[in-house]
Amino acid sequence: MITLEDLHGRFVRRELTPREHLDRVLDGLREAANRTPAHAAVRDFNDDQARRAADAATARFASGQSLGDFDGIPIVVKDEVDVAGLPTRAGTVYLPAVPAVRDATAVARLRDAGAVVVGKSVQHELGLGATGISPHEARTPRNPHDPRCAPGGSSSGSAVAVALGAVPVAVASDGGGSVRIPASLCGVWGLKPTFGRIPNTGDDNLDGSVGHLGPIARSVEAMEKFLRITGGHDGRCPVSKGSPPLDLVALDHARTRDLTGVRIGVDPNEWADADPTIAFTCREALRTLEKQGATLRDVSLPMGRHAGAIGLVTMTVEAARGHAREYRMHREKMALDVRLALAIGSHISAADHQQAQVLRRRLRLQMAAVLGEVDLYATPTVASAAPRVRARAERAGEADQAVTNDLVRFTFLGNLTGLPALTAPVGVQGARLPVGLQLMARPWDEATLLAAAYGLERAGYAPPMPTVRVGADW
Amino acid sequence: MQSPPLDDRTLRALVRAAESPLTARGVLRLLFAEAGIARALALPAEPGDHASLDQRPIGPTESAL
Repeated sequence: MITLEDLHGRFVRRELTPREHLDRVLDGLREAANRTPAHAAVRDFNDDQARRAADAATARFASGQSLGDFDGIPIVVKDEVDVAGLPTRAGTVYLPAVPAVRDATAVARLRDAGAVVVGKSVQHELGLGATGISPHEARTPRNPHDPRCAPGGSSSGSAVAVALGAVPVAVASDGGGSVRIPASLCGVWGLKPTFGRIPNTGDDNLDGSVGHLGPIARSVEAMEKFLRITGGHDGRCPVSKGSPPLDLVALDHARTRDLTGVRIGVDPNEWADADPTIAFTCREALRTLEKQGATLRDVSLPMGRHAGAIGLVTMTVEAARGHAREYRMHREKMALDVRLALAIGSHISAADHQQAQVLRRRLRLQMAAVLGEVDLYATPTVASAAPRVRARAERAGEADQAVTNDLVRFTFLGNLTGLPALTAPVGVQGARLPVGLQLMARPWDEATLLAAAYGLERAGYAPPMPTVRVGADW
Repeated sequence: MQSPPLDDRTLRALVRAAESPLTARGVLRLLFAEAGIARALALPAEPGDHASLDQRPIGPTESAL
């Protein structure tokens, strides 16, 4: 399965051109979408625009004027993130199919670096779901590791496109775990940077206090390069104002950094809520980091068990405010689970929301204290494996609170605190379902997260081979 | 004990109940219980509690603020 660095190397050595590769990617994604069950990762393709971009990249490589690591690299972009020339419908059937006028800032920066946008990836409607099951996409993109299972959400198509091997990196977003959950369930890497690190401009769905943009990728290097390109303040984005510049020295050293002295915190009470086989697999990965010099230390985060509840109150209230117009005008066309979430969000009292913010601050302070003792904080990414897709769920949507609770059990902590978090593919559970390890770090310290990820990658941790893939011979 | 996944008919009924002023509060209570929200919101107050609207990430050196 090809990574960003492999692909770039082949372009540089002229073994392959970006245009030749793009044509294979387009064919591969369409072939996967036509399978039964389908792995339809992309909602709207962008063939003409993508071919022009790939042709330009091909010419640059031919003349020795490559723009760098992302030049000619095919990517997909989550539906809710603006791409000029393609509609932004956020996984709905009612937002108008009017092409966006301009790129989201992150997309513009990636395109300036030569990335080729293949299309918009499918997602859970309005980002309001962790399973990726949607009746609107006609065919929920199935998990490439087990087509009976959901891919996770809400950035379902971005994770599936990367897990299938079609693209080495994808643009995703995360308001409660929507980068990390599908990345974990699909067995690939995912990074949610510090709140404000990557500007949200051009993703109206992130208009709140928990939303982040980030990459889903096949390699650590792709996440690092994505962060370098997209990170940094944008004058049109209030949440990125005041974000410090990327620590380029620390990022330069992340790949080869000795992990000696890096302290990793583990709260055994938190881990007890995860499926035992998931917890076991994640602990084995931590032991690998221990062998590289890191030390494991027990810590205590008593408010961690309430993060999912605080997050659900916060997110549903913010979504009900942000999507009030869509709810008023289009609720009959919404998946039932999304409609229920928005109805609930609009009925949560101000007092309950305020109490949730009180608890959120308590959680933030506890987490800050934990990160005073350790450099990284580790949990499983999700508490249980990818759920099965039931036929009736694809007809109207599905509300399964037990599944939701398990999927967001550990991820909301990152959104409520704004701290950087990543998920690493650290093995498989049972026959083939992937397991993800979540690591979190201090504000703006993505470099230490990436250093630990590189450590795992050096030890052989990588996306497991899926049952369904495209480009097996690439 | 959590409920099993809801079938279309039950989910549709729940949506209708959630959208009615007469029954919305009941649906809220049900889902608050299922998601652990009721338990979280009932936590006793602690010294220093307040609802900060500042969502900037807090580093360890700021934890005493």
